[in-house]
Amino acid sequence: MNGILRFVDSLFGTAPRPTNVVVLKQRPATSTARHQTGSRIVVQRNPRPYWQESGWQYESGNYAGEYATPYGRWPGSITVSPGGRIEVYIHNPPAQLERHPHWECFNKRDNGWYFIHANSPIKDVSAAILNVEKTITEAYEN
Amino acid sequence: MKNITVVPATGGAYSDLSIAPGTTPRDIKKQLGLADNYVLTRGRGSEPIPDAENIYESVSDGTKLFATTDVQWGE
Repeated sequence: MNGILRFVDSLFGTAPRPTNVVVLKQRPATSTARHQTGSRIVVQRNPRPYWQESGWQYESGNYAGEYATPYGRWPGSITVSPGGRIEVYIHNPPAQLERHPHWECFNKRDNGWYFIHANSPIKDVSAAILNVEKTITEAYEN
Repeated sequence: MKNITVVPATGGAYSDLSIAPGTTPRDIKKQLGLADNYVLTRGRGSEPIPDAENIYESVSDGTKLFATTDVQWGE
Protein backbone atom coordinates (compact mmCIF):
# COMPACT_ATOMS: atom_id res chain seq x y z
CA MET A 1 0.00 0.00 0.00
CA ASN A 2 2.75 2.43 0.97
CA GLY A 3 4.46 1.71 -2.27
CA ILE A 4 1.33 2.64 -4.22
CA LEU A 5 0.94 5.89 -2.25
CA ARG A 6 4.55 6.84 -2.83
CA PHE A 7 4.07 6.14 -6.52
CA VAL A 8 0.88 8.29 -6.74
CA ASP A 9 2.52 11.05 -4.74
CA SER A 10 5.53 11.04 -6.98
CA LEU A 11 3.25 11.48 -9.97
CA PHE A 12 0.80 14.09 -8.66
CA GLY A 13 1.98 15.19 -5.20
CA THR A 14 -1.51 14.49 -3.89
CA ALA A 15 -1.22 11.45 -1.71
CA PRO A 16 -2.10 11.87 1.97
CA ARG A 17 0.99 11.93 4.11
CA PRO A 18 1.55 11.52 7.83
CA THR A 19 2.20 14.70 9.83
CA ASN A 20 3.37 15.70 13.31
CA VAL A 21 1.49 19.02 13.27
CA VAL A 22 -1.98 19.02 14.80
CA VAL A 23 -4.20 21.97 14.13
CA LEU A 24 -6.48 22.40 17.12
CA LYS A 25 -8.38 25.50 15.97
CA GLN A 26 -7.98 27.93 13.13
CA ARG A 27 -8.46 31.66 13.70
CA PRO A 28 -8.67 34.51 11.24
CA ALA A 29 -5.57 36.65 10.84
CA THR A 30 -6.97 39.37 13.02
CA SER A 31 -7.29 37.01 15.96
CA THR A 32 -3.70 35.94 15.50
CA ALA A 33 -2.59 39.58 15.42
CA ARG A 34 -4.44 40.31 18.64
CA HIS A 35 -2.86 37.31 20.25
CA GLN A 36 0.59 38.48 19.20
CA THR A 37 0.13 42.00 20.56
CA GLY A 38 -0.92 40.77 23.97
CA SER A 39 -4.00 41.18 26.07
CA ARG A 40 -6.20 44.26 26.08
CA ILE A 41 -4.88 47.14 28.21
CA VAL A 42 -7.36 49.48 29.85
CA VAL A 43 -5.86 52.93 30.33
CA GLN A 44 -6.97 54.45 33.59
CA ARG A 45 -8.14 58.03 33.40
CA ASN A 46 -6.91 60.53 35.90
CA PRO A 47 -9.93 62.29 37.38
CA ARG A 48 -8.17 65.61 37.81
CA PRO A 49 -10.15 68.82 38.17
CA TYR A 50 -10.29 71.15 35.19
CA TRP A 51 -7.81 73.61 36.69
CA GLN A 52 -5.20 70.89 37.01
CA GLU A 53 -5.93 69.45 33.62
CA SER A 54 -5.48 72.93 32.17
CA GLY A 55 -2.01 73.22 33.66
CA TRP A 56 -2.76 75.60 36.51
CA GLN A 57 -0.55 75.44 39.59
CA TYR A 58 -1.61 75.86 43.19
CA GLU A 59 0.47 77.35 45.95
CA SER A 60 -0.56 78.83 49.28
CA GLY A 61 -4.12 79.71 48.37
CA ASN A 62 -3.19 81.04 44.97
CA TYR A 63 -3.80 79.40 41.61
CA ALA A 64 -1.76 80.52 38.64
CA GLY A 65 -2.12 79.49 35.03
CA GLU A 66 -3.50 80.55 31.70
CA TYR A 67 -7.00 80.98 30.37
CA ALA A 68 -6.94 78.93 27.20
CA THR A 69 -9.25 79.66 24.29
CA PRO A 70 -9.19 79.05 20.55
CA TYR A 71 -8.04 82.68 20.20
CA GLY A 72 -5.09 82.62 22.55
CA ARG A 73 -3.98 82.21 26.12
CA TRP A 74 -3.88 84.83 28.84
CA PRO A 75 -2.17 84.63 32.22
CA GLY A 76 -4.51 84.30 35.13
CA SER A 77 -4.49 84.22 38.87
CA ILE A 78 -7.18 83.06 41.26
CA THR A 79 -7.04 83.46 44.98
CA VAL A 80 -9.05 81.58 47.52
CA SER A 81 -9.33 83.24 50.92
CA PRO A 82 -9.35 81.15 54.10
CA GLY A 83 -13.10 81.77 54.19
CA GLY A 84 -13.49 80.27 50.72
CA ARG A 85 -14.01 83.50 48.79
CA ILE A 86 -12.73 83.10 45.24
CA GLU A 87 -11.25 86.12 43.45
CA VAL A 88 -10.43 85.98 39.77
CA TYR A 89 -7.76 87.97 37.90
CA ILE A 90 -6.50 88.17 34.33
CA HIS A 91 -3.32 89.78 33.08
CA ASN A 92 -3.51 92.08 30.07
CA PRO A 93 -6.89 90.90 28.79
CA PRO A 94 -7.42 91.16 25.03
CA ALA A 95 -8.77 94.42 23.63
CA GLN A 96 -11.73 92.49 22.21
CA LEU A 97 -13.09 92.19 25.73
CA GLU A 98 -13.62 95.95 25.87
CA ARG A 99 -16.61 95.47 23.53
CA HIS A 100 -18.08 92.68 25.65
CA PRO A 101 -21.11 93.49 27.83
CA HIS A 102 -19.18 92.24 30.87
CA TRP A 103 -16.17 94.47 30.32
CA GLU A 104 -17.45 96.67 33.16
CA CYS A 105 -16.81 93.72 35.46
CA PHE A 106 -13.09 93.88 34.69
CA ASN A 107 -11.52 96.24 37.20
CA LYS A 108 -8.00 97.45 36.50
CA ARG A 109 -5.36 96.79 39.10
CA ASP A 110 -1.59 97.28 39.12
CA ASN A 111 0.88 95.98 36.54
CA GLY A 112 -1.63 95.01 33.90
CA TRP A 113 -3.77 92.84 36.14
CA TYR A 114 -7.56 93.05 36.14
CA PHE A 115 -9.89 91.79 38.83
CA ILE A 116 -13.07 90.17 37.45
CA HIS A 117 -16.07 90.76 39.61
CA ALA A 118 -18.74 88.08 39.88
CA ASN A 119 -22.37 88.75 40.73
CA SER A 120 -22.54 85.87 43.14
CA PRO A 121 -19.97 83.78 45.01
CA ILE A 122 -17.99 81.52 42.73
CA LYS A 123 -18.30 77.92 43.81
CA ASP A 124 -15.00 76.54 42.61
CA VAL A 125 -11.81 77.49 40.81
CA SER A 126 -12.54 75.33 37.77
CA ALA A 127 -15.87 77.05 37.24
CA ALA A 128 -14.09 80.42 37.34
CA ILE A 129 -11.54 79.37 34.73
CA LEU A 130 -14.17 77.85 32.44
CA ASN A 131 -16.29 80.98 32.62
CA VAL A 132 -13.43 83.40 31.96
CA GLU A 133 -12.44 81.30 28.95
CA LYS A 134 -16.02 81.38 27.75
CA THR A 135 -16.24 85.15 28.17
CA ILE A 136 -13.01 85.71 26.21
CA THR A 137 -14.28 83.49 23.41
CA GLU A 138 -17.58 85.38 23.33
CA ALA A 139 -15.66 88.63 23.00
CA TYR A 140 -13.91 87.34 19.88
CA GLU A 141 -16.96 85.75 18.30
CA ASN A 142 -19.60 88.42 18.87
CA MET B 1 -26.27 55.07 20.98
CA LYS B 2 -23.20 57.24 21.57
CA ASN B 3 -20.79 56.91 24.44
CA ILE B 4 -19.70 60.08 26.22
CA THR B 5 -17.96 60.91 29.48
CA VAL B 6 -19.06 63.60 31.89
CA VAL B 7 -16.59 64.72 34.53
CA PRO B 8 -17.16 67.28 37.26
CA ALA B 9 -14.95 70.33 36.61
CA THR B 10 -14.00 70.13 40.27
CA GLY B 11 -12.56 66.67 39.68
CA GLY B 12 -13.78 63.32 40.84
CA ALA B 13 -15.38 60.32 39.32
CA TYR B 14 -16.13 60.23 35.63
CA SER B 15 -19.53 59.15 34.44
CA ASP B 16 -19.49 57.08 31.28
CA LEU B 17 -22.83 57.42 29.59
CA SER B 18 -24.57 55.92 26.60
CA ILE B 19 -26.96 58.41 25.12
CA ALA B 20 -29.79 57.82 22.70
CA PRO B 21 -30.93 60.17 19.92
CA GLY B 22 -32.77 63.14 21.34
CA THR B 23 -30.92 63.22 24.65
CA THR B 24 -30.49 66.69 26.13
CA PRO B 25 -28.14 68.05 28.81
CA ARG B 26 -31.20 68.33 31.01
CA ASP B 27 -31.72 64.56 30.72
CA ILE B 28 -28.07 63.96 31.58
CA LYS B 29 -28.10 66.27 34.58
CA LYS B 30 -31.24 64.57 35.85
CA GLN B 31 -29.67 61.16 35.41
CA LEU B 32 -26.50 62.23 37.25
CA GLY B 33 -28.37 64.09 39.98
CA LEU B 34 -26.81 67.45 39.07
CA ALA B 35 -28.60 70.63 40.12
CA ASP B 36 -30.22 72.93 37.56
CA ASN B 37 -27.44 75.51 37.84
CA TYR B 38 -24.91 73.09 36.38
CA VAL B 39 -23.98 73.31 32.74
CA LEU B 40 -22.22 70.91 30.42
CA THR B 41 -19.32 72.27 28.42
CA ARG B 42 -16.39 71.05 26.36
CA GLY B 43 -14.17 73.64 28.07
CA ARG B 44 -11.41 75.80 26.50
CA GLY B 45 -13.72 78.68 25.94
CA SER B 46 -16.63 76.82 24.41
CA GLU B 47 -20.15 77.85 25.22
CA PRO B 48 -22.12 75.70 27.64
CA ILE B 49 -24.42 73.34 25.79
CA PRO B 50 -27.97 74.63 26.15
CA ASP B 51 -30.13 72.48 28.39
CA ALA B 52 -32.68 71.76 25.68
CA GLU B 53 -30.21 70.99 22.88
CA ASN B 54 -30.21 67.56 21.27
CA ILE B 55 -26.76 66.66 22.51
CA TYR B 56 -26.75 63.39 20.60
CA GLU B 57 -26.50 65.37 17.39
CA SER B 58 -23.83 67.78 18.56
CA VAL B 59 -21.29 65.48 20.19
CA SER B 60 -19.12 62.74 18.76
CA ASP B 61 -18.77 59.29 20.15
CA GLY B 62 -16.18 59.45 22.94
CA THR B 63 -16.67 63.14 23.75
CA LYS B 64 -15.60 64.33 27.19
CA LEU B 65 -17.76 67.01 28.78
CA PHE B 66 -17.24 68.97 31.97
CA ALA B 67 -20.07 69.61 34.37
CA THR B 68 -19.67 72.96 36.06
CA THR B 69 -21.64 75.78 37.57
CA ASP B 70 -22.21 78.95 35.59
CA VAL B 71 -20.66 82.18 36.81
CA GLN B 72 -22.29 85.51 36.15
CA TRP B 73 -19.82 88.35 35.94
CA GLY B 74 -21.19 91.64 37.20
CA GLU B 75 -20.20 95.04 38.47
